[in-house]
Amino acid sequence: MEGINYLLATYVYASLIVIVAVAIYGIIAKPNLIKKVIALTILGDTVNTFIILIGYRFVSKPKPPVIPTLHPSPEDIINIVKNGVDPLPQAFVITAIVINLAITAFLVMLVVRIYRAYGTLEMNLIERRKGEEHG
Amino acid sequence: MIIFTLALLTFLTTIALAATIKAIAEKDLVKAVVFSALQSVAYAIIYGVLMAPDILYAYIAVGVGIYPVIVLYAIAKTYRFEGGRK
Amino acid sequence: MRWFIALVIALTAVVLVKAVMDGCLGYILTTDVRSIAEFYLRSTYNVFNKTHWAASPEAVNAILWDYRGLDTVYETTVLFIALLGCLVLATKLSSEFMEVGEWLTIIARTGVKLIIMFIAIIALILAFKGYVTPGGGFQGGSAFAIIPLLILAAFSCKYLENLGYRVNKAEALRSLGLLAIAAIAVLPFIFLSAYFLQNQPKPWIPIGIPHVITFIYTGGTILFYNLAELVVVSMEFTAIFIVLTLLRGEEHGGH
Repeated sequence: MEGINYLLATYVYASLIVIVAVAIYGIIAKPNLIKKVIALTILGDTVNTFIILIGYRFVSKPKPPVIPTLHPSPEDIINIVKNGVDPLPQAFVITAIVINLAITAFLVMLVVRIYRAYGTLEMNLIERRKGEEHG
Repeated sequence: MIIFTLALLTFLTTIALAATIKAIAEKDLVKAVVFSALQSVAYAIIYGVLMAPDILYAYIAVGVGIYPVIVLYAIAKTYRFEGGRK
Repeated sequence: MRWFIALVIALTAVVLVKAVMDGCLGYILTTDVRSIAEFYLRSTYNVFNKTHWAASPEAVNAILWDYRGLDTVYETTVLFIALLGCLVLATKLSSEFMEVGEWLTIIARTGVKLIIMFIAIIALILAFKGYVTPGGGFQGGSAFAIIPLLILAAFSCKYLENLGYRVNKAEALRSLGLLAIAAIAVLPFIFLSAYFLQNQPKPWIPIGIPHVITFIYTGGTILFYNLAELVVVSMEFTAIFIVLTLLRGEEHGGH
């Protein structure tokens, strides 16, 4: 591999991992519950992008994994097999997007119910009020 | 030819990194949601560059249309600035 | 305390970058692809060798509904249970939003009416042609679910109620769509002793849906799965939006 290709690829992988690190810091260290939900969605989407990047194929003319005609000749099929991108990570990522969406919708309902019960959304204040309730 | 793809990818991931750092460090929650939507647009263009059109259609509708709307509903029923009510 | 957390996360990120560039997640900058992906690409619309084919030129939809169809069945189950949890948590819906009828200006309303027509056409094209061009059931469904959202924003919730959108009607349509998916998947298994989610005739169980019906190219069972998934996903998001609008937020219980 040439030097400049390797350098740019290192930058792309490194910036995606730094986004994951920033999102994990946002989940742990910020006390507001809605900020935690936003950071969780950022984390899930970044991991999906990483999976698609692993399945890419660095030929000179890559193609999506679709056969372009309804009556293919053998040359069409061989062209797609030699230049087509991996279709299996894309199927996994579609499933992952749907499941993350369902979890986020449920979490938002929980957040609104917590606000109705405790009157605040900061985690340290919720712990203090919960301790006063039971103590 | 590969170097053009890699240059485009570095540009888009730099935009995504800047948007997510501003989203986590912002005190106004509505602005944080808008920065998260900007990062979703950058990711959708990355999916187009990496030859994955199925995921692009699914992710544009979900990441720019449904996620910010659900979180904005949550902000409207509670409060807007971080550290607001005591 | 925060500096300690930031330091630990930064060290983990540096170690991860070094591990990835040395090949812990696969080769970097390759020109080959894995052998299982080559099998899927070669045999998904191979009219010359019909042993393992899936009658659909689009490899991703064939993987989602034919080669790995059980994954999609379980994902639909997770979506179903999550929506059930949402509806259980929304017990105190306030009806005060139903009487407030604020409309936006006439420019916004006309723009919304024009955009809704285009969105409906695009969503139906994505769902109907999901096995020939990129698209599919979930893509069409989530694009179709933007329509009640725009109506909720420009017109009020009372206008949506006058149009006939209720939560229980959306639930009933969604259950019909799920029943259609289950019928196509399970009934050949029970009555004809075929495989679960069988699409095309296999050499030892020659039962399948023909992939050409006069002039319509169905992708086997994939066309019907995509249509059912469009109904399921769009009605599910409509129910979530209506329930979120009516949820009451501003009351402390007991403080």
